[in-house]
Amino acid sequence: MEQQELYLLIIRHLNAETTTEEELFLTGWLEESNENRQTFSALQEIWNVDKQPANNEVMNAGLNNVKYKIAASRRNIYRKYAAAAAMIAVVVISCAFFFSHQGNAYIETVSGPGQVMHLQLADGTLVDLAPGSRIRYAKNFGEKNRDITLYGEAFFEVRKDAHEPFSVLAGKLSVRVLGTKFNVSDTAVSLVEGKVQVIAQQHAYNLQPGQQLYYNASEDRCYQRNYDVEAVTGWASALLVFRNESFASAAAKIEKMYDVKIIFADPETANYMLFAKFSNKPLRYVLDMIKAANDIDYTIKEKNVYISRIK
Amino acid sequence: MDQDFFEEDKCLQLFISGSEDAFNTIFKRYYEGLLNFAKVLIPYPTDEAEDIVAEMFCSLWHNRKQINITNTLRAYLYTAVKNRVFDYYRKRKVIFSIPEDSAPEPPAAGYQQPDHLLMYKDVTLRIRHLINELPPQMRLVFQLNRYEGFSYEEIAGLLNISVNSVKTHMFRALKSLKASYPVPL
Repeated sequence: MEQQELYLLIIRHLNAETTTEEELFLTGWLEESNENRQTFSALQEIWNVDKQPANNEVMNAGLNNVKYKIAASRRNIYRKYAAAAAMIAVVVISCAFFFSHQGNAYIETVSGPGQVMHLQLADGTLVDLAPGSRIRYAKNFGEKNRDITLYGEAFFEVRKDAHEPFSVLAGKLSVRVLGTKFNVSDTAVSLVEGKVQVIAQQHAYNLQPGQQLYYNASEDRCYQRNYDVEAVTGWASALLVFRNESFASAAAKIEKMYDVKIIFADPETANYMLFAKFSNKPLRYVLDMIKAANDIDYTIKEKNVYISRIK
Repeated sequence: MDQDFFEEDKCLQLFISGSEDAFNTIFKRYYEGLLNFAKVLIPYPTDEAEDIVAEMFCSLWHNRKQINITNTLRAYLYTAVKNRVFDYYRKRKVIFSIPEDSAPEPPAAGYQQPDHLLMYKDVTLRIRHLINELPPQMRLVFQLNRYEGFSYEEIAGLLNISVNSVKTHMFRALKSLKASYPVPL
């Protein structure tokens, strides 16, 4: 018998796939010589070596990649519904601060400029929607899924439901939770309470309270870092917090909260560092305080605020 | 083995009804083997194989309610990956083929040196290392038969080669492993 047939016969024997005749032949062959028996035991040992233990790192990276793809394609399905709904819904109900429209399969809510919207979802989750943001979820939200797509920024206080995870898709970030408090914008997920998993760039990040996952679009990279809870989530309760922040970045927050446009007459004033906290104060109060602490003045014309430097 | 099939069937039912845990179990059971398989079929570019396997699992999840498994889940998954590999080559107008009789590649010499022998005192570790050193196709045939339990016919179908080539690969793999396997004194 050829060596190849013999080896494959031994393997069939080890797999218990041999016929009676083959078994008889094999028994005879083994009796023939010590060399034969050695060949047999070597093959047996080779065959019995179990599979290499799974490489968990590769496995988990692969699993997260797949989960990310599943989440991303779900987002595409939403987009398709959005296009279909946009064609159907010719009449869009809107009023000064509020705009909402319902398609066949999802509900979309948009907050007006300068207005924080407080919503309660069907599952009891509380959402504070930042000015000029949109959330979208399926009409049967809370029954079979708790998936939300967010454009802009929102603060979530998720009702606990161990059976149905709550997920938010925002830009390149995808968050999965069971029940927690956290803030989501296009560029960062910031955890206040509980535990969340953020999937970004095919990696899963587990955040601790007080940590945020920050996505830097220009570098296309993610950073996990600590953050200032009040400064990030303050907007939901009309709280403005500047902790050694440039006037330029503070201005962006003021613009969003009061629906105004801030124009710096002298670019240098934009670099002033501010350290302040305002809780639900009118715009003029905020500007007066900044004026009192710095060599600036301001004038308000309709929705524009001009900041000038006192010479 | 029967127990395995029973468990797998239960797992499959749970998966179809939407259990993510069941999905994770299936994923963990088959991912590495499928990736290995895809990587031999598409060696370049390096991340294409990963994408193909990931997309297969992704559409498995989306279409779980329409899945019709006539044979085994294992055969279904491997065939799904194979079909995707075909699509990939079709799109690029490259004809997919594994050479019928590739020249036997010389085994890497490294492991025969004394210090390497010392490194692999444990026979199991040593054999695993030797398996990894086999030429890719030969290794794949060996692993598909040994660890996934595919028959020679099934392997021939998956790799588009003849049953005889599968047997040749198997034999050469065994011979090469045995040749570098220490003979007991």
